[in-house]
Parts: sequence; structure tokens; C-alpha cells
Amino acid sequence: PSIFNILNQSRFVGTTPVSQPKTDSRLKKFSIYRWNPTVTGQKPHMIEYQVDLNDCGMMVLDALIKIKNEQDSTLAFRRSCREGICGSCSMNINGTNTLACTCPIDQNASKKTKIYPLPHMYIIKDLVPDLTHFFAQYKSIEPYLKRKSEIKVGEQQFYQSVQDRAKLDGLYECILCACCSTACPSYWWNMDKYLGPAVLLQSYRWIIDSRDEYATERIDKFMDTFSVYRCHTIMNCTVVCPKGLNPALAIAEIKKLMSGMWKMPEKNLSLAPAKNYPESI
Amino acid sequence: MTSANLFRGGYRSLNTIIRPYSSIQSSFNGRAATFAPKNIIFSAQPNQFIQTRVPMNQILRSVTSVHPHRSPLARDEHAGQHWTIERYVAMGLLALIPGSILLETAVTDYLLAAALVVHANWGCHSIIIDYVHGKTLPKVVLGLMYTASIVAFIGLCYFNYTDVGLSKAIKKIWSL
Repeated sequence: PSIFNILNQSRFVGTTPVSQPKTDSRLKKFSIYRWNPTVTGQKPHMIEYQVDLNDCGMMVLDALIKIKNEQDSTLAFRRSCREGICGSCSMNINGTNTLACTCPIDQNASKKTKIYPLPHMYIIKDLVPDLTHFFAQYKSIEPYLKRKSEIKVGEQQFYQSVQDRAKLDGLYECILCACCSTACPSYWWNMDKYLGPAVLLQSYRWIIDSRDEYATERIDKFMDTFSVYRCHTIMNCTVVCPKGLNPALAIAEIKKLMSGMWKMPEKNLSLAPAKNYPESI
Repeated sequence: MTSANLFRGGYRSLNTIIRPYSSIQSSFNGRAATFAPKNIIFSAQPNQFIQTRVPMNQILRSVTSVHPHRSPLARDEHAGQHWTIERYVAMGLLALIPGSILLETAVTDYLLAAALVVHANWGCHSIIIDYVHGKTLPKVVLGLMYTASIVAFIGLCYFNYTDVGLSKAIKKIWSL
């Protein structure tokens, strides 16, 4: 029994907690835009919160969640994946539109971090913008594969070569966070009629998809003064994209196709693999 | 913004925001029509302590061209070609300005006058479309701008005809 006891207790030898040295707290100020429309008479205002950086994750979203958990549970913001793929937490941090979950907190505790909602958007509450119109614009470009002949779901495959698939790189990764569109001054002044960089990037993604047959019609739907031509290559969109995409380039390609001086993208409508597959890869 | 519940300043009661796609039109040309406010609906007041209406003096004045009577986007068949010609004229000016200053001929003077006026006209057209919103005000301002362009062109042609010519006049600035 005694040797049994020793063996049993030896399990716990390495588990005694080592006392950590007491570190000073590094307090950082977060100045956050607040507005609650259900409170009569309240105007938008800034509230300052202090967060101990030694007790907080690296990203601005970590600080926001910490503030909501510990200091002010009325703070409203969107978040979901916390890894920069869902596009929920897009907001204006220190003047730039980014995702809060991938924006590192500036570790200089003497500087204030200013958090605003996406610029020039109607606000539902605090940092939550109303993206209804943004998504309605996205829906209006018909962001799905369209074929002229009937598609028998599950019976056919639309083959795409490796080269054709490579054309979609830099376009399909868009997470519709709206950082680019809400950074575009043209979108600020004309958001009702100008589609904005995010939606135009996605429309280009479908125009050059080799499996989509409606490229001419997609381009033709933009033949007016506003949908595309409010873009004046300000380039704010490319600067702020948190996924590193280039909406301005996609818009330029759309303009090239609309001018009629460049060939429409080549399509490959085959339903069978190439004859020399897999050597064709 | 969805058409229903669009109060003048864009405030929408929280009740309606929960069903965001309820009033979106799916036709491409009709997307701008979502801005037309139909019936302004307020959510039922939950209790006497929380008011979900925003009083008039708090309503944000709409700064975008949210217009109650917007029609679907007017199609411009030649928008693409027009854009292309704008770029060609800009490139032409790049060659024409130093070229006409060097050559100092009457032909290049008239070409320069025409290209400058046309380039400035199309440029101002874009700017006015960008910043002047509404139904009639853009037309008024565009009309003024077109008048100014025509007057400028007539003035430049007159100057070319009666005076030293555009290129010589530009060169004279340096001798001031």
C-alpha cells in the first residue's frame, strides 16, 4: 500500500503551479462610437474604455469582446468566425476599414484606438451598419452560374481547366465584408445607383467564369452612367481590402469589356473532360 | 435600404430590420426603386418606456441621393463607347498640347480649342453627376455648364480668328 501511495502521489509532482511574477497592467484606451436609436434624444457619441493589454488577446475584436464581457454589455457589434473569413466584424479602426478580428491592437499603450462603424452607412446600433442595400445590390448582379441550355442538376459536370480556374483567383475569395465599398467616396455619394467595388468584383468573377454563358448580358446590364462609371479609380477599395483583393483592377477589366475594344472572355462549355485528360493539366 | 420603412432620414425601426429581404426587388433595373418609400411603418410600441420613433429634429438629413421618386436606371446604349472616346481625347490632348505649342499653326490652334473644351465639358459632366443629386438640379447645373462650354468654344475660336492664336497666347504667358 505505501509504495502504491508513493506511485500515486508522484503523479502530482510536476503539477504544482509556479507562481508568476506580478506584471503591471498596460492600459490602453479604446474610443468607441456609440448610438442607441431606441433612446429618445440620444445623439451618436464616443465612449472611452480602458483595457489591460496584458489580459487581452491580440486583435481589436478580442478587446471589443472583453469590453462587452467585463465593462459594458450594451456595446453592439457583429462578429462570428474571429478568423477573417466571415466578414461580419468589418468596421473603421483608426480611420481604416478592416476586420476587427484580423486587426492587431497597436501595443503602444499611450495611443488611443478609435473605433467607428463603416463610413457613410445608416447605423442600426453602435458599430452595426445596415447592409441591406449592399446585399440587395449583390443580389441584383445575379451572382450564380447561368447557362443558356437547361441545367440538369446532378447529371452533368461543367468542366473547367486549371488555367480557367486560375482566372478566378483573387475574385472568389471576397467575403462581402463591405470594407471596400464603404471606403469608396463614389459609393458614399452615389450608393443608391453605383454598385460599388465589392459587387463589381463579384460581377467580374461571374463574367470571366469559363462555365458561365451570360457574360455579354452581364456586361450589357451595366450600360448606364452609374452602375460602373462612377468609379474614378480612387483605389481606396484595394488599399483597405482585408483579404488583399484588388477590386479596382476588376472594375478596370469590366470597363475594358464595356468599351467593346477588348475581346469578351473565352468560355469553355464542355460537359466532358478534355480528350487528353489528365495530360491536359 | 428597403423601400418600406425608409423614414426620411433613413432610420428604420428595429422590428423591420430583422426581416431585411422582405421588400427587395430582384429585378436588376428595379434595384434603385428600393429607395422609393411606400408606407412608412412604425413598429408597435413595446411599452411606454421605450420609444422606437425618432423625433423629427433628430432625423439625419439624407446625404446620398435617396430620392422618393427615383425611377429605374436610365439605360445609356453608348456609355461604353463614350467612355472610350473620352480616353482617346485625353490621350490626344497629351500629344496636342506640346504639339500645338511647338507648331503654332492655325489648324492645331482650332483643334486644341475644340479638344480642350470637349475634354473639360465631359470632365465637368462627370463631376456634376457625382455631386449634384436630385431630379431637376443636375439638369440645371448641366445646362449651365454646357452653356459655359459653348461660350468658351466660341470665345476661343474668335480669339484664334481675330487675335494671335491660342498657342502663341499661351507662350505669351511666359513673357509676362
